Amino acid sequence: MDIPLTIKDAAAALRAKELTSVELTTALLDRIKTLNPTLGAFITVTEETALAEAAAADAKFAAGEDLGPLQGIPYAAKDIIVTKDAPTTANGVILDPAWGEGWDATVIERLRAAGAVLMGKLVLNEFAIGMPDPAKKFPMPQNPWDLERSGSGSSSGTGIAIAGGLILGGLGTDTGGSTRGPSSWNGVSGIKQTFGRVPKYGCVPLGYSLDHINPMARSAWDCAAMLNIIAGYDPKDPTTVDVPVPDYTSTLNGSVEGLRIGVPMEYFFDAPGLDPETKAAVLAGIDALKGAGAIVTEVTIPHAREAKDANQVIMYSESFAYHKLDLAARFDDYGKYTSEVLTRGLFLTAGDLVQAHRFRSYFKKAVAKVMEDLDVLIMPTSIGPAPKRADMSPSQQLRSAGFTPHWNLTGLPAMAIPCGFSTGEKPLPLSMQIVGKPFAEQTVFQVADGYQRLTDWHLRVPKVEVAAAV
Amino acid sequence: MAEIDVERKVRDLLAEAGFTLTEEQIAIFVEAYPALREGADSLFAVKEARYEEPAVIYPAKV
Repeated sequence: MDIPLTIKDAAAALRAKELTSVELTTALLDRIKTLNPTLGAFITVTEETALAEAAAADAKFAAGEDLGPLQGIPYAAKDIIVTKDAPTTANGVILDPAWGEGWDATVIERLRAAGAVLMGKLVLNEFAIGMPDPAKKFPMPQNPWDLERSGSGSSSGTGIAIAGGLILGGLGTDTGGSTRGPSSWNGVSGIKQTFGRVPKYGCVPLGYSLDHINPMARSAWDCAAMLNIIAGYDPKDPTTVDVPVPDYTSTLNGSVEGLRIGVPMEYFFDAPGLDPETKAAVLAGIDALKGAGAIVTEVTIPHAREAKDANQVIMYSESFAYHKLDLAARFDDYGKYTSEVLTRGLFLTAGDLVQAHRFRSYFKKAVAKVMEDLDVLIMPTSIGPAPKRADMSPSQQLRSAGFTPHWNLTGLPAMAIPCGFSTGEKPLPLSMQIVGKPFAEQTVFQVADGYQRLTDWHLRVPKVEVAAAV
Repeated sequence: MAEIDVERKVRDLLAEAGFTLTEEQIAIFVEAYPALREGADSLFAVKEARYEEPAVIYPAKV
């Protein structure tokens, strides 16, 4: 069978009785069996419960019951999100298995209630930070566009599984770019919605004041459909905000006419090391939106370089508090890159953390001022396409420019979508980032969906070299 | 900051926190420390943040 590429297409096919959820789930389970040994995207595959959930979705369709576009749709969750039918490991051996046993995170509860089919738990950078350590027993994630290259992180498994056609949608998390980075390097779409929009209850923390659980899928429409389900106040997460959740898909009509786009050239387009093809692709994407009726203005985000530092100070401090005792007692049980990055919090002071939060107050207001007369900002998601894993190191990441942490610091919604491919023997996805105002995800989706109706970058599928890993 | 000061500082902080690491592991933190400090110190140089309140909200109501 031809597996639909998107949740939207699969939902239509299920309702047209062109396929059943059991058929779709079975076909994807077969792909997982074939490709996961190469791609290293899944830690746990919940085949039995997935087929049972798919059968239940089909029974509802047969009874005329329709819970919405996620009914019968296979998805998977990053393995720091608690699910009652599979262990939660955080991609390591440190986390007490008893903590996550026998219950569901709020987002999983909501997806189950919407009839979605959970296929299993996905690989990540251990505890959502650092880089994969080949010496540990967990699968090594590989970019489906070029197996020598990184699948990014920390939601690497989610990005790889969607790009590789193993699932139609998935859940990632994002503290400094961990949803948008894997979306960028694997060529899929992913939104970090406004902080407080989606409950984090049931997710292993990294940076308490920066963490988000997010939808990832091929298209903006698919992400919007997922966000419709997982968004909304949860009394179990005091950081969620009790504000109405719009129907994000209902307003998507492809029009960007009159939308005001700000382009922050300073820092985001002139950072040292910014790949010229990435810069050109993002600027071409902005031109395409301008051609479709958007109004484009150049703007400046003040202190953008310091904003990345502030996000790091907060993330390292908050994560160190969670991990200090385990690091002191079991340093070598962590992956070597995980312990390296988590321990950075030891070298920061209480004053550093408070100053970072003072900077955060200033920066949030400064960006709000820049965006007063704008609807969105657009910039590159990453400094370039996926590098070779052998060329990466945590120290290089510490020093290089980044374009995603700013939007964790401010809490603003930010979405990564594919906007081109690099040249060369193995073309790699390039990505642009669309940033909106607080709780204005629908505007971000409108721009992303409008762009995806003009282009087909998000529908390109890698040909995975299965034999390479045998 | 002189290199010898960095190494002493890193070793002291690790020891005070109860970390027992190899020389190779300590060397990684000695290398990273200047960039970490530079990033944190740069935030004190932002004059616009001088009189800001920290972006931490403590809800008194449970």
